[in-house]
Amino acid sequence: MIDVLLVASDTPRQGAAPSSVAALRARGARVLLAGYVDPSRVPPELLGVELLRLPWEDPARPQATARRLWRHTRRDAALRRRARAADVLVALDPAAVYTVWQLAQRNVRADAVHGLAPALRAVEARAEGAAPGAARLSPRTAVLHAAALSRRVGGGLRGGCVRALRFPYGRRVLRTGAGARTWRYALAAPGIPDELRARAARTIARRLRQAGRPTGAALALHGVARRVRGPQLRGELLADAAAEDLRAGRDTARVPEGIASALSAADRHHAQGAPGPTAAALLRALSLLFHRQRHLDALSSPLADDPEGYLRPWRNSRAARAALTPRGRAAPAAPPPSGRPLRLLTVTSGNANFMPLLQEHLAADARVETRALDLSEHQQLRHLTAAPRRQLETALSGGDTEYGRLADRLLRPYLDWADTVFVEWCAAQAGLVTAVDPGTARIVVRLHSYELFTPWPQLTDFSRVDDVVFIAGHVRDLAREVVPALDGHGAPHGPRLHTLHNALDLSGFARPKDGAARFTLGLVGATQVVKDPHWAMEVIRLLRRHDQRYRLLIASGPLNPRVGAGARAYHGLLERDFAELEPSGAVHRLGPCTDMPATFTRIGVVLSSSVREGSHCAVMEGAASGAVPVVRDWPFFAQRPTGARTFWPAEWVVRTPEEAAERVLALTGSEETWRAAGRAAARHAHGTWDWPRVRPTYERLLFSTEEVDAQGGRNSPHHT
Amino acid sequence: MTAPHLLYLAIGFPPAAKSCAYRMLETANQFRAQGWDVTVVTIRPQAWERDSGLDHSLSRRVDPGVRMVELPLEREDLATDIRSFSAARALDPTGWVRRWHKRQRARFPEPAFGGWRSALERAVLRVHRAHPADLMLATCVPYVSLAAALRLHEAHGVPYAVDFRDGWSLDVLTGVPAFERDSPEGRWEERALRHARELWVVNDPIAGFYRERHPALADRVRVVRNGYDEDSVPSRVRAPRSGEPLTFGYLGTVNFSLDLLESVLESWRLARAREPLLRDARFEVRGHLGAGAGRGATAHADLLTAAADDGVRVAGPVAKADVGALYGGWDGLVLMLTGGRYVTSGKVYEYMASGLPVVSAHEPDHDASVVLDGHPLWTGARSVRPEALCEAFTQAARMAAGADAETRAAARRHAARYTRLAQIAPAVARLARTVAPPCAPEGSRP
Repeated sequence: MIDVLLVASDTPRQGAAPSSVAALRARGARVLLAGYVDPSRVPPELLGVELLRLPWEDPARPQATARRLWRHTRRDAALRRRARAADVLVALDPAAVYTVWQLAQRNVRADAVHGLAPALRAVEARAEGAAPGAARLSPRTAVLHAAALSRRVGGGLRGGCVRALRFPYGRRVLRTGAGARTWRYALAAPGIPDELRARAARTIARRLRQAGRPTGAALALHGVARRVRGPQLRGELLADAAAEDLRAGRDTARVPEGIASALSAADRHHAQGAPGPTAAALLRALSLLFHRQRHLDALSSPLADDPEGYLRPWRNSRAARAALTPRGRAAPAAPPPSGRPLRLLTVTSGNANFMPLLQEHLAADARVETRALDLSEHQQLRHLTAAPRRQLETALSGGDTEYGRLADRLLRPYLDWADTVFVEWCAAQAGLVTAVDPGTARIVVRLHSYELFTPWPQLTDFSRVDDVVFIAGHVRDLAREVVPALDGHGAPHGPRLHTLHNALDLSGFARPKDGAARFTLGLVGATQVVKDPHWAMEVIRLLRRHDQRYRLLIASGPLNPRVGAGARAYHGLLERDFAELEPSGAVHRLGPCTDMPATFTRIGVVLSSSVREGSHCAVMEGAASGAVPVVRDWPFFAQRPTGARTFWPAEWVVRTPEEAAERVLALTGSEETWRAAGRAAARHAHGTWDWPRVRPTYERLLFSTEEVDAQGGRNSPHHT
Repeated sequence: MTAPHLLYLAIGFPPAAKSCAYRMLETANQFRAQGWDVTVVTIRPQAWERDSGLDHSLSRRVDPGVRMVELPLEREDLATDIRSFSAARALDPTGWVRRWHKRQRARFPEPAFGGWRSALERAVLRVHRAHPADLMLATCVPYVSLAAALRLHEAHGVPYAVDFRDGWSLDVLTGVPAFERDSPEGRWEERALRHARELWVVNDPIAGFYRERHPALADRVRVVRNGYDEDSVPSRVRAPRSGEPLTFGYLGTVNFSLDLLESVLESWRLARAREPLLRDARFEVRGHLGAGAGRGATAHADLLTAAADDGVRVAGPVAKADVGALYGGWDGLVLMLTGGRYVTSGKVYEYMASGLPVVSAHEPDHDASVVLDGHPLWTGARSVRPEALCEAFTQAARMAAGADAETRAAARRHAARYTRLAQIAPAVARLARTVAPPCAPEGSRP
């Protein structure tokens, strides 16, 4: 009888094991399945197999880690006994490999394999009388095996060759200041060829980051950059050092140095007529200029504070100017057709959150024939969509690259069909569409807000765009400064600029509110740092000093801390807020809500705590529901001529949590005041942002070529 | 006059149970048939145990005059013997493989094979020293074979050709370039192809891509389709047996997307429910599922096993020698293919030649559609949506039940021009002429 122990960190999937297990048994094997196996989920074909379930359940972390499985295995006497007696030890999944590796050191006779097919071969070999287990090891493997074994027993080989091999890069070494410094000194040693020094620096920097020393990583790269002679390599290392800093959440002096070096490398390559390396260097600069740590995962942005100054190095670069040279179009856009419906192509790339109402309306309009192209779903175009380097190279090569030709070939049938192309979001999709000459199709691009803080508007050739639609005047005004090519009124290649509200159906929001809603503040959507829910927590703290009935409902998914260091730090701050405010009921997280009209029946005050918004649809919907709006003067725009103060009725807007609390207290002091303020807000919302009011502006946009400004020039103040 | 000598670097040569092995086998045999000495450089058979397995029936078809040099190279990332793992690998097998792939690229920009570069270069130089080569033919994958061909050419001026099959710089599944020209891969490809006598690819769209990407190479790019082996199709076309349920089959590596498999299984369910001819029909899937530790245990296996109640059966790979008999027991074929206009696949030729109805489960704009066009028992490629495939299954069932002998013979005639011999022999003769005058054949094909 051959004993086979299968170890699994999860219940085996149906279909993965049955035939192989049957084959094992057919060859005379006795099979035991052990690990985090849920008997209720075991496939029927495995029901006859003996099970040994490790008693661990953690629904919050369903993926067992390798170490945890081994810890539980080690503590289970019955499983240890069976493992010692097994002839073949089998890991059924990657997380079970470590446990089998440990068990194999305690049972040197057994074969230890990963996967059922190798298990079957091991059983067959044993049945044919082959030498078992460690007896078949190669000399090198035997040494490793012995060293590993010695670690377990603490014997004379402890550490030995294995540890010596790893010493230089070991995390434990690099985690110490001395270890990190030692490596920095080593990297600075004289006589090392540049390429080798750079390669070693990158390796050590990666290890330092993994060891929790991101500053050390940046220092190592920066130090080596100063020692290498080649300007290209130096530029790359300085950019790498800057990227390390940003990744770690620190905006140091190394960042502008990295940007400058990348741009000067780009200028050098450009002077030599090398579009490929020029594009790569420009992209390095762009990725630092528009790093999410600087604009998206932060409560302020140097770009919003001073667009001109921030982008000056970029605009001064000859290579960047060459890449941004308007390529124009061979023929102007044709006017809307007469005698047949307008052919409208909408182009998205995954995110079409703000499109359904518009698309639904257009689909029902006999004057329009619509088609939709979702680039993320297109087998070939999705690979061309987020390709900034290739787009830059194409721009630098006058469109004559493999990328340019391929993009042209794939997009041409769509462009030939369409009279008008509506590109939703001025992101990668706009970069792709404007990489080719649109023929006579009219190109309309809608820019919401966040795109301005990404490289994409810089990579969009606006000389091929006929119309740009903004959802708010303050976004339009900032966009003009961030992308001068937009400000082309009267210029030969400038697009027409329109300011149109998002398409929203507010008709379902007018529902009666619960009485308790008067004391309930609502914040909808808090999955990003820029939504700054911590500000809303401050407001609720102040309110509860006056009245404990006030509470804050957060209708949102969680903020993802993994996107970067800034988000991680902010997430920590929020968790502390929640730990303080949730137990008393001051704050309650509803999670993501799909039925917003129903959710707003519980909310009497709708908050916008964001540092940046395009229009904040949740406030429009909340106001339409009769909730009293309290809108922070979005700090990204607060110092600018247009912003929250000019987008919303002025009395809705507050500067500080104290002002917010004052407004809430004043308008919720009595039922009558609160309801009257809610009615006024609802009137304004329905009269300004509801689809019947907004629809004609989109129709004018599509069926005429006049400029549409539905928001009254530069966000003139509104009055309720 | 001594026979010219071909040094054929063919990793995947029999007994590897890989679809590329058939093409390599025919190529080596054709060189032998045209009077060449042939030395095949490949890796040890046991290395394939970790990969796609072995098919010893293929080795028996190799011309006995072919000399084999088997190198002790193995893919460490596919190792399954846990005793050979370091602690770091045991703790994080996936991460270890990722890092290992990265290290492999240091020698040559190819994740799993880059580290083989030195061994391959040394091996071809050694073979050449012992028996000077007149021509080297390198077949890819792995692309690291290009480095060896180039090394031999640069060191000794040996002319070389590349059997690129699907090409390197083209992602045939998506139709977009797989890498930039100035990437390490791009530079290697440019360098390796610059002096190649010929570049073989498997279809016209790929040839077009290479002619556009490397205009200087345009007149050296040749289309050498895979074709099928005449002894891999049944000698007699199976006629439907009244009263017996129909059996549809798929033979080939299960390497298409899960979405496609789900769609096919859903359409199969629908068709069985709607079409009386398919009421108790069976659908047999034969071929390799996964490699390394995941061999035989993939999400595809899950789906197929879960469809057992719908008459779906998954039964593992088939030896090449038994393929003809397998087709002989089926009534219809399901051609599940990934990719589009740049993909042909080898199995389409065999499917055509079987004389059985073919259900096309692939994108309509696919090179398989080009070769199937005109086949009288082809359902056409409409879409991979379940409703469309359900109609195709229904149509195929009716073809299986109703096609007469003449229609089946016409189907086989349609495929006749695609025999592997008809594809490879002229290509070999043409390539041979570029380096050596015609020789009298020394041996005969096995």
